[in-house]
Amino acid sequence: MDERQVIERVWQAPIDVIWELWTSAEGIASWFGPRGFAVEVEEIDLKAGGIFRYTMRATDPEKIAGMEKQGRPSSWAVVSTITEVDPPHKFVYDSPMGPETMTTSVEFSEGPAGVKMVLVITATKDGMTGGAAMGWKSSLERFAERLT
Amino acid sequence: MCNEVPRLNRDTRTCIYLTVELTLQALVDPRRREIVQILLEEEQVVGDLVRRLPIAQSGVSRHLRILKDAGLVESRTEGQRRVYSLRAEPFEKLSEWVAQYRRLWESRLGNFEVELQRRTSALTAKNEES
Repeated sequence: MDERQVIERVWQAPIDVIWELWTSAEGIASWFGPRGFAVEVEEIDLKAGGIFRYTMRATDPEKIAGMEKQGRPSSWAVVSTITEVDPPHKFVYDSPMGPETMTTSVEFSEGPAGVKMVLVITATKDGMTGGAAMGWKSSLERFAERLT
Repeated sequence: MCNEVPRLNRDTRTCIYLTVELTLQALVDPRRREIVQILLEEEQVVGDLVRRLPIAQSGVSRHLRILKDAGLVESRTEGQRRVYSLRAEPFEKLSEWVAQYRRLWESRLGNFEVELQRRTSALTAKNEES
């Protein structure tokens, strides 16, 4: 099973600055936390098989109170495994999401309009990657179309 | 399918997650993915599925039972025949699950653009100085 989301952006900025923001501990910490969360990168070993570990911490007092009320922790560590690095063009890592794996792949290419980013988020289950997953997206889309 | 379990229904996140887990689990088997692909075209009776797959009827029935237990397919009786079709819910939950990550990333990329702007402006200022 393969379910993916693709997000694209074009930025007018030097590719090295973009790469640094995406792959250095200090760079990631400056933007990775969604609204109300701070991210601290403890380790990022930029090579295939390297560890990318960070802690996500709620900073909004209201959010913290809400999470505590629900018995959920207000900070947690995420340990991902880097699977591909090609500076300054490609960065791929796998994050455990319970029994599933979330693969995050980001690619940068320089063009006349600027640096194009293509971010692909894929939910997979062990043993269902690569060829096995091919064709699923279009099948699911067809199915969804039929339902509407 | 976890709507049938009242305790879980209260927590939408858990419901989505459980459905996703059951769905992916059922689809790890390539033969079951093949069956789902065939059912995507149109509903099928067991006999037609057996003719299209290189496995015995007992195998097809076993896979259909697993898919049914996981909530991916449902069946109805038409005279002497049992017709199998896909259920929409697990596929919708799967999309919803990944869509949650899309929203997270959209929010993150907003932060990224602010930070990128800040750094490139700083860089330009520095270049103009030198």
